[in-house]
Amino acid sequence: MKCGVRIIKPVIWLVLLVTTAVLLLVLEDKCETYDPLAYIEASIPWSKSAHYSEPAPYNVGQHDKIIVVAALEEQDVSWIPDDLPE
Amino acid sequence: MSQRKLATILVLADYHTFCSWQHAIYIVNPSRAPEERGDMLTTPVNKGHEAMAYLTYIVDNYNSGIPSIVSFLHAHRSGFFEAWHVDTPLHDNVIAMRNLRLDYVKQNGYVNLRCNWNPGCKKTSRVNGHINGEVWHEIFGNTSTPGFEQDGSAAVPGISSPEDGEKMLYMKMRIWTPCCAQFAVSKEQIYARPLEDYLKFRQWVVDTEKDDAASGRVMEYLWHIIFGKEAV
Repeated sequence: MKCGVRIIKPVIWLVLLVTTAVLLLVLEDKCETYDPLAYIEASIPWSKSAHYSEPAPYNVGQHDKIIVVAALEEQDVSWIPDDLPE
Repeated sequence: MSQRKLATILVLADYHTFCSWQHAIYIVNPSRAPEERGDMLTTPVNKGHEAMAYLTYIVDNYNSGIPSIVSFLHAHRSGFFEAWHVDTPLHDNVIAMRNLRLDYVKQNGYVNLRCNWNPGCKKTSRVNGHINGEVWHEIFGNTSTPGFEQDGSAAVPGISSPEDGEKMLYMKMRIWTPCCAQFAVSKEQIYARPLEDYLKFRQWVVDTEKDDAASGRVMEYLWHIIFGKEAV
């Protein structure tokens, strides 16, 4: 019985260790992809990156330009004419 | 009207012109009959995800004139999960468009709107599981893509002798790019290819046995090559 416990304990620890390592890797990957910290920071109204209400100076120039969008009929694309008007 | 007021109005008018974007919104799954659609833009089929709309825009407007800069976008504006692939802090496409460096697009020809290398450019994506020599040949054969003969026989990059060809056709290829098929292209870069190339790309999306998602994913990994960049 004691021998069994002696074997099971390290196995459980090993499983926990491997599971934690895998979870951390997945979490790291997701954080890199989604960048939640930048998102949270930008969501704070007084943060530096919170407001981009006007086009940046380098966005204004003598170029005619178009936005091409693929949309499903049920998708709301009103933000395009509303926030990037012709 | 005073001189100063007139000048202000003129400046504002110019500012508005320079800030403004034209729109081409393609509905890929219209439920209305063709005669009831009015001026709604649609695609020939609903396949290839956004690729069908992007290519249809180029095909439809190639001869009539394409603006200096074309931004190809998804339909969602923002959202932490929904628009995670938009690179701006709030994952917001409006912010991305308002901060797009137009001169850089003109200078570079093609600009991926996502700079984050994950996914698409990480070590784990060293071999692209979506594109092999066969797919590469199907799409780029008989186009103006450098490396192909007129009859499409020169096939896959890296083939040194004809006997290697068969093996290479099934080899997965090293093609990396930040994901998600949102990018800006200059007019000059679009016109660097003849219309026939875009027609062929679109026809591949229509004809391939790959489904909507898989064919769209293949195109997602090829836009930078289509618009003149290296595979990696």
